[in-house]
Amino acid sequence: MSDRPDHAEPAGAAAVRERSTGRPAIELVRVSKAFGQRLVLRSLDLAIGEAEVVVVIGGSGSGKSTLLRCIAGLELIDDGEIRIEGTPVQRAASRRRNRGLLRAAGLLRQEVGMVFQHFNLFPHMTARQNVALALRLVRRMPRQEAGAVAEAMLQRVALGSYRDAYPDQLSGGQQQRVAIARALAMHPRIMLFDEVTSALDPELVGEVLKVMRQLATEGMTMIVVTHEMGFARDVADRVLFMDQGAIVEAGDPEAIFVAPQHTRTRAFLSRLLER
Amino acid sequence: MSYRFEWDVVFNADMVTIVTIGLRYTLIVSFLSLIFGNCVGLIAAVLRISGKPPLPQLAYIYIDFFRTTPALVQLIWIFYVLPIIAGIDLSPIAAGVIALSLNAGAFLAEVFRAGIESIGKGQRDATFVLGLSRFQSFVHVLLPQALRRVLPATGNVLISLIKDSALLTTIAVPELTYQFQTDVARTFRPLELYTALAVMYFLLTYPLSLAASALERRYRVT
Repeated sequence: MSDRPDHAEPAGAAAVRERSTGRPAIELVRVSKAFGQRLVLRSLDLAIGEAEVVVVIGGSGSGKSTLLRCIAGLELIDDGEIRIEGTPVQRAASRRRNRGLLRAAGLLRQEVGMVFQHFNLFPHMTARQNVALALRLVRRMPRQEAGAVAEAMLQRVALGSYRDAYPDQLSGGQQQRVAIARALAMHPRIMLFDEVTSALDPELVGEVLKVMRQLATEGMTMIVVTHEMGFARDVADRVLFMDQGAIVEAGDPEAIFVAPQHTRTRAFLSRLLER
Repeated sequence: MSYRFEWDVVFNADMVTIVTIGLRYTLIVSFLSLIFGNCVGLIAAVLRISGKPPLPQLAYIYIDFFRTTPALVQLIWIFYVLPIIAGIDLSPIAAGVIALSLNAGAFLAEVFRAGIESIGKGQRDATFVLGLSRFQSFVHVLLPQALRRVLPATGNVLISLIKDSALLTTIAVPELTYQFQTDVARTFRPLELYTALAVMYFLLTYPLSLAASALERRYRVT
């Protein structure tokens, strides 16, 4: 995405980007995370390249949402390191009680966009206001300009005519597309999708997947947690199967779906496909 | 019943003056207390959820104290004791507004806190990933939603304040009750006058309670 106007970027982002071209978009090194006694991520190692689309599948409790949340900075890891475009954003060592987002994380938070299962739109704002808010407050864009960018984003997800609608006037699929537009407005280089179609009625799922497919072809780096196997087979560069906090199997979508190696993978897929 | 009600003591020219003055003070005190009470309540709620000791504890002490002691006692204390301790001069109205504001504020603090906490975690997640600071997220996303939840309660708080404003007669604030009490002392006709007084309060608060119900229906949070 090289067509960003200069004043839309935070001051240091260009420097960060220059420093890190050629590095993987996201790296997790021995990342562990526990909630109380329960270990949710077990020493995960993962590297995701630029423009790669990675789909993560797995049962509930497997840690896939937590994985996304740690990358986004919503959860603090207990051990290991997370790097975005080469720059560490979280670093923890279980021996020492230091957890926290590193200073670089503030800047890089804007490089990562996230879309949630339950949309999380701001109910007291119209679609356009939802999309424009961060532009005004974080990028300090003047109101007019933010509104124009917001409208363009809404056009991109085919919701241009709904810009003055409130979330409760929109269908689930429309709300989710607004949420995607809102995340895209900040021009992130990485987009995280946390089961974004799971809360939708089946007939509304397609319109959201369509937007996501388009993003993939445009070269967005994406991590998608989903149960939509069709989408995974069509769009993913790589599929990861997670179980109990670890990546059990990883590979080509065709390979995973047609000839899974691991027994747990096979068990999960057969349970899923028999529905 | 051997008492003969004679309503001329109520329906006469003097009464217009009495009611006008009394109403003015009642309404001024009630509205000022509503405004200040909301400010105090919001601050107290924010302190309570801030999680930075000792702020939540201080807020909790304030809220607990003002909810467990009688409003009358609070009023008397603020009018008689506080000026001596703090070395300041407090007019009866000032003391009255302060006492009612703190009283209403304690109640409103809990309403605000519940309103803020009822906003799902997802909203905070969304503001975080968009890059908003905690302050921005509170002012632009959380507070507007909390206010919408709190709005219906405001009507009831105002009604409460109008009723409690009658307490201010004990510190000689010339509101409605004080005016009527003075008139009773002059005319020795408590039955007619106090009946009229009760009706006056009813006429003040009943339309408000209807409006509050309407507000509640309109702003109901699904």
